[in-house]
Amino acid sequence: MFVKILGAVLILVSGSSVGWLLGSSYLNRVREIKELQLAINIIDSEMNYGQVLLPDALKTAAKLLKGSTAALFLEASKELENSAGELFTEIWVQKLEKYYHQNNLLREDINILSNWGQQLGISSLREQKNINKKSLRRLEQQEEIAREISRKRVKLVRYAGVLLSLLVIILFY
Amino acid sequence: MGKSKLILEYLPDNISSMLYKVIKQDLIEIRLRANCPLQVVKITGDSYISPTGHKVSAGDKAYMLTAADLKRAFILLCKNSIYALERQLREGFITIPGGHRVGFTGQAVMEKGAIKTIKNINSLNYRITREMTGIARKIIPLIYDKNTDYIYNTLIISPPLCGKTTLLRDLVRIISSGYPAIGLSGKKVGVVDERSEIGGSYNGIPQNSIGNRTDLLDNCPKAQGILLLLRSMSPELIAADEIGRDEDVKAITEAVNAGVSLLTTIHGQDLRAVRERPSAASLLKRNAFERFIILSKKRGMGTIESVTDRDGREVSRCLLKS
Repeated sequence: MFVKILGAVLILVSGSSVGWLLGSSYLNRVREIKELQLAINIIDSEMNYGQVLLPDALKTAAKLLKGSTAALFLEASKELENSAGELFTEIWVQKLEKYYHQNNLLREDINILSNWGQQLGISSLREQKNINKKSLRRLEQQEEIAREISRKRVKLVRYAGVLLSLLVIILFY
Repeated sequence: MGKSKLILEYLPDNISSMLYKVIKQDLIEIRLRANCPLQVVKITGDSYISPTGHKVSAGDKAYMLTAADLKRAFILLCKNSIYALERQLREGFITIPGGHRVGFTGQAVMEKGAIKTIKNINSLNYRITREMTGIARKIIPLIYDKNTDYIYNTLIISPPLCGKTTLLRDLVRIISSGYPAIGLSGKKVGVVDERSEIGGSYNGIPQNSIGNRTDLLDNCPKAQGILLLLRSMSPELIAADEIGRDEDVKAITEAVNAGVSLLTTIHGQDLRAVRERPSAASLLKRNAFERFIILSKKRGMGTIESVTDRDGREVSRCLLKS
């Protein structure tokens, strides 16, 4: 009997955890998109007010960001400083791919960042401002969609985790 | 890494590997032009570079540069930060570590009758700075009056690529550090380095040796810089490269009247050609300069044709006579 109760508890805990984690991934995507918007805003002000070189602007952004987004900008900055003959766009594409696998962002979110990076540092200040603005607007739209999805799905997935594990327990016992 | 090799970091990988061997030689320029062969220039002449990195005389055996090569080279030159170099884009050159100056041409974008920026770069000219310490030693006695401990207001005149800036830099270094052999103790020197060519500053710090008593104002328009140095740094001598604008004349007159010695350069074949230039002519009329050093390339870069006083007499001969 004791083994049965222990088994049921284990199923319930693991099922609920899976539901909880899946639900959190939707919330994390929203948080990550917001972090990326902050990053572009920081780079934008570094460009506009300080006319700071790109490696230094990336470093400043890394200092003010958190987690894997901070790491993305710091690594890109370091590699840009140390690599001779490599363009930022080439470095950015590589780093972004690694970042994609570490986070909850969708391919469409990454594509916005990829397009932004491909135009970064290769045009005038006015054009850079427009590029930053456009990318920020697109990220805002993605944030809204991600928020809407999370509103609908977080509770659903979390309840589903609990309910499915209860169903498994009932079926087994 | 030698100073000239620093340039390789600002070139695309394929081009820097082709230039790796020849950069050790006495190059003065590396020329990149879209759809043209890769070219290097020495004082003795120019030659093309083959894809294997050898000098060739035939253009068809040389590496042909593409528009993509130029674009890549320019982005690297700007450190992936074209937006941060708008002033340089207007002026048509960028200074890189080591004091090397890279000039460029492309499509000029105009605004209110002035160049706003240059886009679609089609030609890059990497001008290699070489510090030649000691070359000015023989000139110093001709522009220095030992009895009054006074450096004459001096104008260095030469066509491009004859070593004006190199000579100016060495004069600054010697005057600032002192030259005990002729009784010259070091003087406070203020340098207005509008194009970062004298000090070769990178992030404001001079990369070239410019003496122990030198205050350098980097990246600053000459006229404003001269007045700023006069007000704030109490210089005994002010040095600036390539005068020629009307506002420079005003500032130079101010400096001369303030009792500060002046050391500067101007483009020109000789003194007569310089007199034809309106702004320079007004300075010469006012007798602002007391010594004129004329350079040429006749016997190699930095050939000193003559050192004359304001009456056109050769100073070296005067010294020999006395």
